[in-house]
Amino acid sequence: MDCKHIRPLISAYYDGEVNDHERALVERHLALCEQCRRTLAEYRATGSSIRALPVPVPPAGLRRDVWRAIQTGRPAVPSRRTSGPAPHNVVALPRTQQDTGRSLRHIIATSIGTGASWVRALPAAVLIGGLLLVMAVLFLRGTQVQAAAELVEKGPISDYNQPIHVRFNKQVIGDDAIKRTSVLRTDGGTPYTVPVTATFQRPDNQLVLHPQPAWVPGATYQVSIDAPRIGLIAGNGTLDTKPITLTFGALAYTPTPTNTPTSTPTFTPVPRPTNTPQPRVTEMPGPENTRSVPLEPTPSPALSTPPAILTPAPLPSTTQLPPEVTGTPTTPVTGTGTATATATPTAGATATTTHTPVPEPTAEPTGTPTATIPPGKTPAPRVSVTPTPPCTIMPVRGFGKVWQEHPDVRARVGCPKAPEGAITLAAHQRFQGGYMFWRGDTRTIYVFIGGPDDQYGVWKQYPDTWQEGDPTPVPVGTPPAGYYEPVRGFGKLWHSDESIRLALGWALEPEWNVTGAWQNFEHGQALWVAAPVTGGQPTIYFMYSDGMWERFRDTFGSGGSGSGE
Amino acid sequence: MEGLAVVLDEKSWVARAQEGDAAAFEAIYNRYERRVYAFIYRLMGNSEDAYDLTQDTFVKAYTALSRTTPDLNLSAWLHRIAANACMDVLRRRRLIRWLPWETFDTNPALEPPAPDDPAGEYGQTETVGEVQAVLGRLTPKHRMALVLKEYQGMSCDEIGQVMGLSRSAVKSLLFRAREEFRQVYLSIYGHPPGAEPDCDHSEEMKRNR
Repeated sequence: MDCKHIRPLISAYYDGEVNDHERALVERHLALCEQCRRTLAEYRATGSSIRALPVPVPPAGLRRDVWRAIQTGRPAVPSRRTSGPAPHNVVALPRTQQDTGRSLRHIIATSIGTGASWVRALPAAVLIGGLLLVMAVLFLRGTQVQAAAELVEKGPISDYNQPIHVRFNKQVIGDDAIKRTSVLRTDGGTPYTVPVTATFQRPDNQLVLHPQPAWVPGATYQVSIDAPRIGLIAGNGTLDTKPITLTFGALAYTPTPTNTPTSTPTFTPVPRPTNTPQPRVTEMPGPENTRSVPLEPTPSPALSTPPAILTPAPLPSTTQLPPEVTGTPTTPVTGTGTATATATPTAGATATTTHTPVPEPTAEPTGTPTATIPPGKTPAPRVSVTPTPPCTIMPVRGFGKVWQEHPDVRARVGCPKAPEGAITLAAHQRFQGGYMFWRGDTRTIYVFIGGPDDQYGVWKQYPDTWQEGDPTPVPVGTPPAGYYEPVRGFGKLWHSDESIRLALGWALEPEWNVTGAWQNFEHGQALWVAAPVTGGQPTIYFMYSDGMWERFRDTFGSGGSGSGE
Repeated sequence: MEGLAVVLDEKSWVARAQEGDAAAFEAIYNRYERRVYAFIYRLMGNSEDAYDLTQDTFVKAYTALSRTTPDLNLSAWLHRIAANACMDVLRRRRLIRWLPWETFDTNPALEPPAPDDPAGEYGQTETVGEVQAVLGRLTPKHRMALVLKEYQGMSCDEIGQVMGLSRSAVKSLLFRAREEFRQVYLSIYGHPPGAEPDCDHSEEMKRNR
């Protein structure tokens, strides 16, 4: 057999795709033919040169754009094509990208200097704009009734064990209706889709949405109906020319009594005296219990199921909403309350307190030295629209500032359960897809999933089981230039849990020691991280007990929030 | 790393994602984002296309997932969507070259190396820029076959699933792709891949005519 005929076999031989007969044939020929030996070497060199090509790292905004496109059903605006130079993928992100807690103004200010980072900052700006529009839409609710589809439930929906019904005013194709309807959670930041199973009831021409365990009482949800893509049984028409959104559930956890037997003034906060501790649970109406009193370090309920860590779903779905939502009439608020006081004997006065999550006496030891700040330093409330609920313990300094300035945060996290405490022994590390924080006093690792520009995401906590002298984990690969493989406690967790590794990616920097402050709230915790030695801003994380985090730049004074001065 | 547990895990993700579970799709995205991005990047040779086409790929996957069967080979399926998306773009740009390689001049700057490919040495003679430049001049199908085999580490069976070819067709495609690679390489750099640049390869040149 001559070289011309043997060469295809050499290629297959190199791939291991030959049978015994062919293998013998090739090897016999190679022993005799120097030219074909060279050919094999060249195939090998070709393969190794291709394998040696670096693996590019996807830009941080890609995930966001994918999710946005999925939720709108069309690709995101290809801003990259027109807005400036292509971002570099293989090298580490510039330092400005890693400053996590920047304000919008800051983003724009730093972005003007460099074309490439302007391109990256754009989605963040769009995102925040979208967020404002969504909030505007939320406020506009109640003005119009959607004609093509409406919620059957007119009253408040507080029990998510019951299905929710969407009735159509035209005879729609059931499969379409199921496929084109999704449910988004809309309170507290960026809407994101939540799991739902739907069935269609032909006689009533209505869709039945069966809630899932992941649905949280007290949250606000939106049924998003892609009406233009839902066909009608008769004729060629569609349900509507515009998408339809229907909102249900509570707004930002503001308890609105719906069925209170005793009549009490609605707007009178009734703070309980601090010296009569009483378990809060007894007065909490049913579903609310699931999210109350998150004893630190209780894992967040929303993340207690294994796949939840892989649900960094706050993936900025907001930005797609403006065009669709603004042109779409929304239904009146059908449910603004979760708290129904009927079933609770002790409900009386406290359950009717509209704006005030009742503060608990602070019986909880934090395990850290606590530093109480004189109340005189508490910044004055800047938001006049919503009255600030008085708490037995008021958050102060950086935490207080965010809490005062953000009614949504306040409503979501409730009152502090204890004064803030310092964390003197801590470490942190930034990753491509999130952030790790180690609290030395409790030996707990907190994982925050979310891109460097994301202002929210999901968090989860793990015990730090790493001991000095533990064997080094087997490397999972070589980090690209400019990236790091985490070590010690972070490394152990990162190596042992693939879902964390996939979500976080490589570290952007080595781990650093840092100081911080901590405060437990009714519905979550607040974490302040001092400005890292590598530069950047002190950052405040609010970690809600539903598993979401929100990030704020600490603008309190120049020294930061906590006791970490 | 891809143990049985991971595969089972993936099956359950696929099943849940097929039923519209966004969290499961998120898990799939987390697992494949980098892989799909890298594949497209090497096919298209630049990060802009990689960004847009990776986005297209996952959006298409999300909408098409409910129509797939439970025994879906997720990796091959995602790569197939990506491959089709890339071929569409290349076709639109009329960049598919049906002409034999000999008609091209020997200008290696025809498709310059991407700026984010640091041109480093690997202890071999090839640099990233050189290799990507050669890849960029291959016919797209050859480039795709080589990238799937050598860069993505797929078997001939899997490549067949991605490209819609039989296993034997993949084998012969890979052979032709390797031949084209070494010939393009030789035409640009004057020596075959893996050889020292200062060797006399006049005999090589003759052989390839």
